[in-house]
Amino acid sequence: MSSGLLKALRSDSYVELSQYRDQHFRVRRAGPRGGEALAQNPATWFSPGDNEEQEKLLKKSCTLYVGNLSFYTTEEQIYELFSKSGDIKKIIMGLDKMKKTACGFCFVEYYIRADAENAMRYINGTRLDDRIIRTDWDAGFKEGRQYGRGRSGGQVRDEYRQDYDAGRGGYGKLAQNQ
Amino acid sequence: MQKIYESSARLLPEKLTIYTTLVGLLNARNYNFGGEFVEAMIRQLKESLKANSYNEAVYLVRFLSDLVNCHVIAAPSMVAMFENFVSVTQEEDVPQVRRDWYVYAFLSSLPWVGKELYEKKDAEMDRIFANTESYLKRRQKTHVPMLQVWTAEKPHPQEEYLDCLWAQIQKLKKDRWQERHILRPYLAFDSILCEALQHNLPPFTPPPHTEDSVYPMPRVIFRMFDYTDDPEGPVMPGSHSVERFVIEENLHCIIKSHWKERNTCAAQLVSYPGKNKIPLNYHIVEVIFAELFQLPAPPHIDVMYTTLLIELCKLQPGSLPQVLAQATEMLYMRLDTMNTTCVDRFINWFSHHLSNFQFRWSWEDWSDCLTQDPDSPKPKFVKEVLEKCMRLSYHQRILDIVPPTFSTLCPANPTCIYKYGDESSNSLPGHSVALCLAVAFKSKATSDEIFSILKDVPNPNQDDDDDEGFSFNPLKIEVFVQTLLHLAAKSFSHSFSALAKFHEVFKTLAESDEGKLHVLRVMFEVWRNHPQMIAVLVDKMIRTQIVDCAAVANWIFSSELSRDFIRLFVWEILHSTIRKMNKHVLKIQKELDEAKEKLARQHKRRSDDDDRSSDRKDGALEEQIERLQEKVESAQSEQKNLFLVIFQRFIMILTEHLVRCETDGTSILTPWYKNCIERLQQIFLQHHQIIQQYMVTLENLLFTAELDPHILAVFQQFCALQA
Repeated sequence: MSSGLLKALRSDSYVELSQYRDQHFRVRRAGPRGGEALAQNPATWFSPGDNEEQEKLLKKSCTLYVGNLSFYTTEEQIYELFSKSGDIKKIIMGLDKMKKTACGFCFVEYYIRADAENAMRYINGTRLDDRIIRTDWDAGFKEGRQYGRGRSGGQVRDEYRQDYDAGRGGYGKLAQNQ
Repeated sequence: MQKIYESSARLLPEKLTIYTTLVGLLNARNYNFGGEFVEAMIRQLKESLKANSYNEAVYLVRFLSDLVNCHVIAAPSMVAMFENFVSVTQEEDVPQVRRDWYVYAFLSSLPWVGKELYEKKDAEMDRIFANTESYLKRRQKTHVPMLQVWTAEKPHPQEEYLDCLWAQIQKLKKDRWQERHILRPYLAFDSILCEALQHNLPPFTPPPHTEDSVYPMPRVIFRMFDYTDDPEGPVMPGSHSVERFVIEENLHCIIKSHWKERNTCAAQLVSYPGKNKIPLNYHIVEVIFAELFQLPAPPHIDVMYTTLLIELCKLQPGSLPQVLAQATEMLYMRLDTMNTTCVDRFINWFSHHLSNFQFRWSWEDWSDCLTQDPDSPKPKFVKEVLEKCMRLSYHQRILDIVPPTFSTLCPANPTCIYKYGDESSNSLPGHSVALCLAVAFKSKATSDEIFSILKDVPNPNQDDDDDEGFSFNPLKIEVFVQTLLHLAAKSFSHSFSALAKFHEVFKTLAESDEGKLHVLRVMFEVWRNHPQMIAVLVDKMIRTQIVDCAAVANWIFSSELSRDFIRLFVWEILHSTIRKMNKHVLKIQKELDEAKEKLARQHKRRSDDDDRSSDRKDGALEEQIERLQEKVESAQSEQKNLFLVIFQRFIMILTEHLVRCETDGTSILTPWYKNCIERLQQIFLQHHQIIQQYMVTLENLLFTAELDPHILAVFQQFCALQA
């Protein structure tokens, strides 16, 4: 009971890891036929150590994934908003894999973890371009991760959603093709 | 159990009386528990004081005081402790802020325990009061103007915190210590508690002042509301009522306890006990703005307050937004006398807040600003707000959200200005090279190719007799920077890539101090419509060492920037530059400390193991330490130089203004002057810890007695802060 109360006094729930884990995350290791297996290729062997390693990286990461952006939100707007919690090292815009245009997410990397934590506490769940945006810890940018993983080239969530969202290309891809 | 209460005392001070009551009940059951608990609290108090955790110490003292009410501690021994506290006012050769703290710790406990102490020991208390009063009368208050949010006394005086507290305690004493706001659960258990055996506090000697002691800075009490602002609701306690003190203390404590958890914080604030008897929303808004506008700095990061206010609006959508709108209106009305740093925070808060509410605001209510001098506080405020709103959205949006009459205050469309872009630029020197460069850049040229194109650019400065091999060629810098930035104008990422790809060219062209200054000048000409781009480019150039901090400082005070000198973006760039310099010094110092620790550990292991091979390892590490030591000294010297440059330039332009006004016979108090002198104050306040190291140099070199008294006053106020 005592540790529970003390824990409650030090609560920092906005900074905790969410349930989401990148299913494509792999630790670099020797492949089944020798040579290095690429970390991001889902076809390589999955090992339980990947989840452990991902969590380790998430807990010390300075990089945030930002989602639910409008397709029209610019890097400059993201810079302005996220600078309120500290100096930004880099922003990488999420792109449609085919069209190479913005598809509603990005990565924001800070120089220090404390600044990323403040973004999780105070920018997550507030509005940018009139939309409530969501931030989550990211294990770190790797080339290729700036592309949407949906079949049509954008994010997976835009493949299946049924609602109309003017800032994200209208109806979901599946609904559009029906 | 004990640990919980000890932690709760520190971490949840607003729930103080609940925990003291529990301790009281436990003490009634078990005398030894009470004794051990009090001893532990005293130990913790001593540790907090030694560790410079003065805010924590105040709560501990308050907790101990309330234990008197719970019959755990005997009143006379508490009075004795307070006697010792106030006797610190007799100490000589100590900073005033030390004496201040002990008086504050005494006075701020009295709302809780004044009645009990006076009932038991009124003669002694009267003596302590007399000593306190004479101290408060003779202490220095030079620091007050620097910490006030508004310079005006109306409608609410910005009182020094000890003066305000003294007035509140005096009133409480006059009211025979009748205090009805604090919840006192122990009253319900009086029959049990009065049977308990009390403990005597051991005699408490305040730890002596040391060189490492750092006391809390003085404060000014922020007031923006009084009972006239909410005529329909419960009456707001007056500024000198002890209720006002207790409510504000508790609300500040709630924020201090829950600042990381915005929804908990908001929920705790709106469920403050006794909320039906006070205009709680007004208190909450006032306390939040008090923290946001606190000088030198808010207790927590600025953006926390924005998000907390949004959470509060979500929790109380029918009442809080109206109070917030009323507060915004009041702040706007009083912009003329508001401290520049506070206006900055107001601008940032308001624009960020609006961006969460579709930028809805009754701008027409502020039409009075349209007829004023555009450099005066109100129109300047609106302009800066609109500029920040644009950064969070886009240019057309801003034109759409304001009435057409406000278009003069709208920001410029943030487009790039390329001087070699149209036909009229054919006659400009370097035009053909610019075209050549453009083609080269577009065909993915390398740095070497760019160097060879630039080789043939004539140096307009070489007409002067110069046998030193003049490397500074402003024309080369002009054509290169203009063309490259223009081609990379599409986004920040494009510009950053350009800086990275041609880093070598930048470094070579900007090798000299004049080169660095010219790069900044040209960059500014290209991007003068886009202050946000200017800020990120300056940041990148410092981080990649294309320019250094001193170059940025000189550029800010240069004549090219005089037109924009009072604009917010300029000061954001300067403070960001100073912060980078400070972080750089800290980083190298940390590396040095770590290397020294490593060496110490190695020595210890060697003496333990008697291993001779580590002699070699020692050598490498010792060399590293020597190198790092040099690096630290060089960085500290650069840091000191940066501040000296900034102060020197301030003194120059302020003196120029003061002399000019004297000869012209005009008033010195122009909007420009007010802005400038407060910007100087801001440098002192925001970086006070580092500037403390330079006091002797500043006093002997820059802020000498010959200086105009207006400028010298700023320095003297700063000295008074930790005196």
